[in-house]
Amino acid sequence: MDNSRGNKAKPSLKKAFSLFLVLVLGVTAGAGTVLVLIWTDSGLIEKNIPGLGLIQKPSEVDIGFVQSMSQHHDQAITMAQIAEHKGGSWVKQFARGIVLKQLAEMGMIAGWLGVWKAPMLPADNTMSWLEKGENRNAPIDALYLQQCRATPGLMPGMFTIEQMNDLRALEGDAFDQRFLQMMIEHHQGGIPMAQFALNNAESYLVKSMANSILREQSIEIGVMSKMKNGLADQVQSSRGF
Amino acid sequence: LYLHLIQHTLCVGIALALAGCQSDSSPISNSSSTPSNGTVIGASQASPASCDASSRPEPGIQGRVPLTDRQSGRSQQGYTCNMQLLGQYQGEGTTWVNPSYADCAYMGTTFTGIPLKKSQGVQVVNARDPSNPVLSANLTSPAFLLSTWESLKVNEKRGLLAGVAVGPIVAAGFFDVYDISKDCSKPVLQNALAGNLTLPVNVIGHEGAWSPDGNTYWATGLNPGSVTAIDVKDPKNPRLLFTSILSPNNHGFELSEDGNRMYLTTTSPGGVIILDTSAVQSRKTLPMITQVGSVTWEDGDTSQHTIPVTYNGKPYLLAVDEGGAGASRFIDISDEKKPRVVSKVKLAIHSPENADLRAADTAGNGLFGYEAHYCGFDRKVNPTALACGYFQSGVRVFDVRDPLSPKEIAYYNPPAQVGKASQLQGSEHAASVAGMNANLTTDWCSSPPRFVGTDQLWVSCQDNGFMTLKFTNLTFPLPPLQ
Repeated sequence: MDNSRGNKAKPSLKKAFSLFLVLVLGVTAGAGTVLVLIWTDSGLIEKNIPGLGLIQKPSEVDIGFVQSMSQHHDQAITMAQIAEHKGGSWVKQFARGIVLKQLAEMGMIAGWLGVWKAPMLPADNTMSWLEKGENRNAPIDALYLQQCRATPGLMPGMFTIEQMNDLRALEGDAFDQRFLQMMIEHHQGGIPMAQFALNNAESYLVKSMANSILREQSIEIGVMSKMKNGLADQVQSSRGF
Repeated sequence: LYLHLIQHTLCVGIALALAGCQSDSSPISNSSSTPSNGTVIGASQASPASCDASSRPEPGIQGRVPLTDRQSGRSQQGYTCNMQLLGQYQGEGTTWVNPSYADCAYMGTTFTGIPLKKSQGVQVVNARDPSNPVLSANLTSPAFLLSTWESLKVNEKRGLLAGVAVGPIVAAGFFDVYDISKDCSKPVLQNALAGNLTLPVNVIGHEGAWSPDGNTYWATGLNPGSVTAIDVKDPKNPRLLFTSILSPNNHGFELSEDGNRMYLTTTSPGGVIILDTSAVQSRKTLPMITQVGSVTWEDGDTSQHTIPVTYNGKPYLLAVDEGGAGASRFIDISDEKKPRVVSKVKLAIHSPENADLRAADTAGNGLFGYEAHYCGFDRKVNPTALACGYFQSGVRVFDVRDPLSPKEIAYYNPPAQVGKASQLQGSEHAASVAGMNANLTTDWCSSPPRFVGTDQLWVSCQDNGFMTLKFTNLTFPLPPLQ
């Protein structure tokens, strides 16, 4: 790239030309890294901005992941809303955090799918988008893929109607214990899906969300495990053990 | 400053690039959209009715109540065409959607009117004598007391009446179901308070409908587009089957005869999405709903509800809009991945050139103008007639033996109840914020009309309450097409 011409341009024209170049390249960029031309005091330079994959058309993994994660979040939010209603004070507070966080992520997903002109729901419930992942044979992803293939229509970490209604029927400490255990298992099902997206998605937005889910839910599992043990201790002490 | 410039240009570039990704050829989209110019293969408007000598017809444009008639008091006499009032129970007025079943009608009443209403909850009207309908009961279980809005629906097959608590516009927490199969005038509450007061904890309700087999009641939540399914196989012990947010927004709907498809309307843009509900219908242990196809349009919005019908085995939907002068339209769903609008059942007042007249006529009469709201067919297989309620154009009946060529055959726009707001605390139009201190120079006819016997139409309008109407001039039933 010849960058010697830039030194002769007037500042105002530089800005205008810079704007023009970025717009053109933004629209025409093809792969996951976007080439941006920037005018500096030393002239026109080119800069690769990695991760701006949102500019390109989303891949089937991008769309499939956010559709499936939206369904997964949906059930977590349902469980957390039940806990907001029925849980003890600590569980209520924790559940409220899950509702707020996951509703915000669902809102982001809805926005992206709207821009991408894709429905919020997948066309099938077999998580067939996993088969499109280019790195699906990496050990950790292959394991998740195998698990999903073995249970078509049963997304890992999701609970059945009966399990959900059983949760609704519980009260007091029994409810808290069951809720925490179910949410831990729910997160344990969501984490490998997020890991798969991190390894196989194209969009920077999607990878970023997958990374965030991976981190948040891993931490939450630790917190819930402590809460669960703490609750058990409290129950034991209240019974005079 | 330079950095800011780069940031700004990047943002603009990203936004433009995203716009460039919006391709209809995307392999992941099942949606189809009608052309923005609204061109269809069938009629774009229903031809107007020809009224008999006993009629008191509208003075000019089809569907219009002119400002002069509102100011002179003429609209307080109502407008008729090939239809007459047979009987009426006005009570304190009624709310958005009120079904009828067998010899009875069920009139929901307002949430906002609770402090002043004398007749609370859902009013049961006995119309065994259609010329003299009478109040037979008030249903005041939690959901019915808090106003069922657009969720009060009957399942014909099992004789069940149900609704969710909607309150001012959306609410959560209550679902009530009544048995009306033995005596429709004396509904029996099935899920009494002691059973499951808290069921379902996180349902958000605004609209509702039954699966045709009567085993599942569905509720939707407007915005965001929540969908909830309740198992009512045992009405004494309903249980939650499914709850989810499936689209950014939603509204009313109906299900296919086998319960495996939901035809769900969207509010913005106006349209319909077709959902595969077979996993819920078949009671899969972990039911997941998927999207089959969708269609949107630009000449109407806030789509309200749908009705699936078939003509010689070919499936169609009627979709109704409560906004944007959309009225109603037929959609060919033979290819359910690519639904296609084929004709429109609009009135002349809905034409774009009448936009200024619409605004002038309806100013001061609440949130809604000449829009349609709910419709009903005489039958779902090879239907011959369609009746729709309009907010300010009354109740209107169409010959739809050919879905591509709807023709209006009758209408009844009931007498305006000017000055009676204080007596109509059950009417959303007269008493709620949607009415916005309405001048009541027309009624709001928002309920689904029902064809009864060979010559009657039963319907409720918000200010006039429940009415039995009779066709004149041998307008109905319609002979088969030659």
